[in-house]
Amino acid sequence: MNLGAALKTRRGRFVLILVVLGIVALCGIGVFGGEKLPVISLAAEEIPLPFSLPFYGNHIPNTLPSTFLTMAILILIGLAYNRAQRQEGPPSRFRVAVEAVAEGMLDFMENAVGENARIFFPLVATFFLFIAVSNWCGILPGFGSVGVLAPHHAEETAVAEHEVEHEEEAVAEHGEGEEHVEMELVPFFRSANAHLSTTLALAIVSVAAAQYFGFKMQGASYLNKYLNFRASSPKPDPSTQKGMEGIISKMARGMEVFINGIVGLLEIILEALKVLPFSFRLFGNIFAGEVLLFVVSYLFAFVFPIIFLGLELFVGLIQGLIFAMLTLVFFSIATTSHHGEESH
Amino acid sequence: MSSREPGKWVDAAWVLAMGAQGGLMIALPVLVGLALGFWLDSQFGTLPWISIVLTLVGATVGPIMLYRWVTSSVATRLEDRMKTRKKRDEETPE
Repeated sequence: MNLGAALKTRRGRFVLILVVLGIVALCGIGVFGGEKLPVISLAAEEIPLPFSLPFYGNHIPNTLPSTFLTMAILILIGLAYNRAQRQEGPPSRFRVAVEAVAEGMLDFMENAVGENARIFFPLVATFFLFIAVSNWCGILPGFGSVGVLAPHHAEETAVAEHEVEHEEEAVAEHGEGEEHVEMELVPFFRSANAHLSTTLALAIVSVAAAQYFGFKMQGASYLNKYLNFRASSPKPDPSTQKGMEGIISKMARGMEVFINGIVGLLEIILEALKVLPFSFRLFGNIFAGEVLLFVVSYLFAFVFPIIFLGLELFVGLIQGLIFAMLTLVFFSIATTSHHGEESH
Repeated sequence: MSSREPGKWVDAAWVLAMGAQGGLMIALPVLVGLALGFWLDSQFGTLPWISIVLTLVGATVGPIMLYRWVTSSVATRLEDRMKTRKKRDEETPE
């Protein structure tokens, strides 16, 4: 009420306008004050190391530290839960919270796939937790903003670099900036799923595990999905198969076997191709989120990015949920036999 | 049956996941075909031809993949749903 009364006076309105203008000016600092355009790299940037590692050499992708950070968080929670579980007395809040999350996931999966949920639970819940936690880690302060300056990689942005080189040549002709090397900020942390290798690895594990569960539940008959050399129509009565009619019937059955074989081969290819949209979706969403946050906080340093941080929290959770759900669907398809599905 | 109806969330997540995956299943094979064709063309110096063929192959593979994926997963989902519903009804007799 007090504020409303104050706004009715002339002075009150003047102060209000000043405050709004001040906020807008603060927000706009990035737009007018920024000297250098931010560099966005599709591939994960490489952090130079002072020592050499097996496998990586003296560079590691900057998604690796955040992957290990995510793993450390999850492992620490697991160890803490293990300790909390062994304590006497009423369960602590932490233990109740962890159990609520685990039970919620199990409940969700039991509603989705029924009694198989307990078999799929370890892998699917790990996918969900890993993806959700690493996505949420991606919006911690310091991700994408704290790092070292390293020489720009020429091969990654060949086209853009080409123009820069021309400019540099022009500058060099004027006798300036001979030793000018383009430096770029390599952040120490980048959201783990904003690296195609991470999401591809997750997708391959998911699709491969689907094959494993298929064999486990259906045994050797799971191979029928891929290697199907039987006619799907019932075998005709031999007494009616005479003359021309018999030959045509046999040819038709031969054709069916051939088509089923082709369908089986196609199934193998499609199974392998499934990995692509699966990994690209996760990568695309998380990378887009990173770029969005980056650009928004470059343009408007204050207030405005908070909305997008909230959005990214939501997207991170939803992407984890989608990945877990799709994995469940893969497992469910692999473990359910669809006899006679091909026949109609 | 509980008042919060947990199955509703599962259905929502299932639709979300299917939509997210299905959309890309149409689009990605075309792009992958184009990229692969472009690379092969640059290797052999036959610029438009392999790209065109592989793009068309991608455009046919995408819908086939989507069709098979949707039919098999819808069938599995309906089966699972029937199973879970039966189980829930057994657990909570009227």
